[in-house]
Amino acid sequence: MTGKTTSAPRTGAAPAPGDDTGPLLSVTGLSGAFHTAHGSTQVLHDVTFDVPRGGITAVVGETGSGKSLSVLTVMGLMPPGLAVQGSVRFDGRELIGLGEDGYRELRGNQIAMVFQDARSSLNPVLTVGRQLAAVARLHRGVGRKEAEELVADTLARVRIPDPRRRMAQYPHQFSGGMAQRAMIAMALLCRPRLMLLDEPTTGLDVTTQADVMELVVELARQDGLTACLVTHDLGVVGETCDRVIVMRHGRVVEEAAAEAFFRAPESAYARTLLAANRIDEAPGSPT
Amino acid sequence: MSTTAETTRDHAEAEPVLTVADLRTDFTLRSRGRRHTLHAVDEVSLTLRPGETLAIVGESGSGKSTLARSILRLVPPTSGEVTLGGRPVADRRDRREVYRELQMVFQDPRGSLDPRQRVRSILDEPLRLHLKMPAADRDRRIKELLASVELPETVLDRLPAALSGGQRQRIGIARALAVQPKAVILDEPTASLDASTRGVVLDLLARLQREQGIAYLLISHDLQAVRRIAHRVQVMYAGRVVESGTTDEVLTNPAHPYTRALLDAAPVAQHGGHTRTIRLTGENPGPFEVLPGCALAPRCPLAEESCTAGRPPQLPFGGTHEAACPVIHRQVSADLADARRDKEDHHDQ
Repeated sequence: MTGKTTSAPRTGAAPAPGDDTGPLLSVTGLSGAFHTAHGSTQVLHDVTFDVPRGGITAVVGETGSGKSLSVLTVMGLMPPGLAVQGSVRFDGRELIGLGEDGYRELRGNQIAMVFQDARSSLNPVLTVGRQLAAVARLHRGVGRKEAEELVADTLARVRIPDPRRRMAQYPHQFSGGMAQRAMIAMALLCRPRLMLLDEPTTGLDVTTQADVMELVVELARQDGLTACLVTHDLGVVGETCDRVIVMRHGRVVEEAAAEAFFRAPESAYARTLLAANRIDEAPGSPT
Repeated sequence: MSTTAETTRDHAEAEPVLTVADLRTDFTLRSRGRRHTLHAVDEVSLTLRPGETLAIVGESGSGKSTLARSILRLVPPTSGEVTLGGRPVADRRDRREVYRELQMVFQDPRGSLDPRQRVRSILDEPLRLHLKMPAADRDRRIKELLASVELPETVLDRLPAALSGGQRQRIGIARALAVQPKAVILDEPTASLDASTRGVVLDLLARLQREQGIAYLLISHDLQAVRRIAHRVQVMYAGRVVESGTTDEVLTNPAHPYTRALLDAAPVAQHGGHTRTIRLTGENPGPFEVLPGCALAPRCPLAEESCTAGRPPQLPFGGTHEAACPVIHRQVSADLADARRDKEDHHDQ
């Protein structure tokens, strides 16, 4: 805890700030709509789910399911024009209606986000070391020398070999997998309590994808980091997650423990999705 | 659901549609006054027969996409020969002649369809340019094409942006099939699609193959897709083919450590996933590292001193199955010899 948490309005059974028993993130009745001159389109319908402390929760869905939008809303990064209603509680504190200053204090320090295409999330004209050091100095309030030490240590922690040499390199000199590790390191530098990962391994090779996800699992298990993974790939979910939230057309259609989910998904849609992720097990191979 | 399997056509007897012999594509780059040569495709050979699907499997940097582009001469190959319908492609003056027989479906239909061209015009173009069909026939053929990819005629007047990802990829497929090619190169045809759409598009491709006898060269890193529609597989690493055989031979009993690692890394949609048994260390060393021996040796857990000495030959693993790994070959041969000895001992007693 940072102790900076302002007194959030308490309603009903929501846990008080600092209460370690409730879920770390609690989304309740979240609705979102785009209002245009041609009328309004509702894209999130009464989205409700919890992210418990520790472990990895997956938000799964196909294109247009609202999975990314829900998670971006948590960070206050929803696209302009999206009007949201409902409640997003982080550690008991209401985030909906938080001003830009409030979000700025939250982002990075409390909740960090790792995006899909790591190389385009990095600034191409600055060395990776310089970008990471800037994050360390801003969020940890350390000096130049200390920031460099911190960056080198964190890069080693995400298993980037030879961190000192890598810090002097530019993003284009990083492979996709290495760049994603650097982005995870950037998120870790802020010591967040919740890490949101939006399709972190999409576009990576399978072997690299498996290595990056192993790293995320290790960070969650060893350091007690709470992670929320947004993905379309149930394979990745099966390998790594403890809890599954399935979304479709802006609604949560299923929320379950991973074990129960993969044994017997409740909703028909989840069964379809699971079957589609196991297409090679379909009867009749072409050989 | 229909499957692709019931056909037991013997592909091995038909005349090949496409053959590639010792194809090599080098890129030369200059940096700080020094010349670097990158061997993107390093002596790759393949044969594609009517009605069959050959999958080229590999990760980024393996050279699989450059191979596809070199076959179509979108990138000029450095050496080697591509033969289409019995005639070398290099001999043909007019590229259009090549494209009447060999077409391509691209990975990202958003990028490969003109955003300002309506569907009708996208499908009209190949009929007009390649087949020089009269307007009335073209109109009928466009409707046939749409029906064959299971799209309603209402999409004809839409722009690609108004279509879903799956619909766009169907238009990409219809455009490739418009000229009735003998072979189609599918470059990661399902990589940009959702899981539920992916299976449907793969089944569609398999059906069109059965109906029209088209040969597919499937470029993919998606092993599930490969298992679903490919008859044979060649695995590429660092520009070279490291393993080849029927889909069953390669994906059920992988021999090469790279193929094993690739299969092992694929996530499994079940709780707890699976345990990886073979791991490569580090990442692809990059295309400029020219190694005298096996390209995988620096990352391979099974590598021996001899692996770095010379390029490993393709060794037989039974049937049509071949792999360029002497270490595994020795292990498998030893296991077989043991099994044989056990059997003989058993007989003696």
